[in-house]
Amino acid sequence: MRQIVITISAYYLDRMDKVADTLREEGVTITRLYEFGVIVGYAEEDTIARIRHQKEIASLRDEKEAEIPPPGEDIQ
Amino acid sequence: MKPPVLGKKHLRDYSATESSSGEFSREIMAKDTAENPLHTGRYLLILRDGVKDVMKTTRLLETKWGFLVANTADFITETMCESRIKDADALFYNELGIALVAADDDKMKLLHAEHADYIVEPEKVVYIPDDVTVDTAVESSWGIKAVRAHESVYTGEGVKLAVLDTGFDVRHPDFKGRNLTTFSFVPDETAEDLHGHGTHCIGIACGSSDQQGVRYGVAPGVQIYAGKVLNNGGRGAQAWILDGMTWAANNGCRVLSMSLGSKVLPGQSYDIAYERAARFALSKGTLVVAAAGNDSRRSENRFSPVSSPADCPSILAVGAVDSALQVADFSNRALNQEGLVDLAAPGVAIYSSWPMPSRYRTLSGTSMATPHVAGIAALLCKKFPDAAPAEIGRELLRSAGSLPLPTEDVGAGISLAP
Repeated sequence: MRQIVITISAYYLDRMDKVADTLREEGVTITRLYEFGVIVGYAEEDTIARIRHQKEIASLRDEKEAEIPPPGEDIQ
Repeated sequence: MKPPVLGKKHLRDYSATESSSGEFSREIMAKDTAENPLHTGRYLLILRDGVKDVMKTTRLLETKWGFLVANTADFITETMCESRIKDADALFYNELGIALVAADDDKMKLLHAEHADYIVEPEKVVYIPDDVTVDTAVESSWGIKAVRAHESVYTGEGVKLAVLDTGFDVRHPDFKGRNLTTFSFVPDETAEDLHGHGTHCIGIACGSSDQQGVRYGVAPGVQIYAGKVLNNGGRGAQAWILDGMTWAANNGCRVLSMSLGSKVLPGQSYDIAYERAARFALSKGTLVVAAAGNDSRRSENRFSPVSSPADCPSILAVGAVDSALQVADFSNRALNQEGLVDLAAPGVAIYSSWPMPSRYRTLSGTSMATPHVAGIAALLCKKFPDAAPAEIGRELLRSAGSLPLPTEDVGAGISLAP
């Protein structure tokens, strides 16, 4: 299971709900759906391989972590 | 033996003021010499021929001038200490061929008379050097002055400014009475800032002055939106950051500051999800600024590209300069095609608020540079109330002070307040 961030092609932005339904059917568990065409969720490797090249998907990446140094560091 | 005159305070170096004002400098020097004498009032006799002349010179001091002379050789079984030779006028360091002489002034005159066997040197007072730390080397409010925020007629009054970070210390006394909204996007953590980074960044963008009146905040009139998207350990999931960006945009914030990021490799393209979020924010009237990142070590010839999300085309990336307006050692460079540095701002030795009870702290980083630009953007929003965020962004670049440094390091230059 991987945490993923999917960005929907601009062309399909007005059909976001439909795209989301399709992804759910494919096995993606959606945790967040942003109106600007970004879906955050998690899926198994085989699901990711299956959906990665769907025309509705502009980008599929692992969810990143942002990080800052611990409070004791002088460079923040 | 006559005790040395040691003064009371540490020796200071006034050589810098000497060149600017001679008269003033001489007064200072006279006062300083009284407080911090260079010499003890005693003398060292350094024998030209060293140890072998000790007996001869001792006899000379005793018989010719009537000195009472002690010798370190008299203290074989116990540690030599001046308090043991209270009555002596001179002490010979037997193994060194040097005598410490502390006699009445008229006797000392005799010593200065021509005599070829020794050299007379005044005994020096020895000091611990003054401490020089990063915190005191530069003026605390240098950043505010460098971006000319202290001269601005604008305070950003009423403008909503969001900072997505580790939260905020809402009980900080410097922010008493401020219009403040907080929200935590971090599961199981309140918006309270137990890290400190968020409170420091909010201080720079939205703060005012400390108890002594030292100004550290750029836009003291803004309404503060503190979104917690990094946990108390300083880590945040991308979803929390997207949540925070959406929140700021949907709440009518005109400026969104993000002193956070993930490291980007050379050749890596920007994250389209962040770009979408930034464009959404722009469409809602929110300008987004983010830190270029601290992954470089220029002094070791290591340069890293602008980090994510600052590398997005729709987000202004901010690099850091020091008080000499040189690029900070750690500040990232525009190495990737889309990941440009748009602006520079003060980011070395920046004084700002820190969660109580510490209250203040001085830190360095592009994290400190970014809220300077966010604050200035809020001042511009007040100056141009109807301007779209893209126009505010263009004005930020246009009004920046050009620096004689590469564009890939500082973009349009140092951000300046209107």
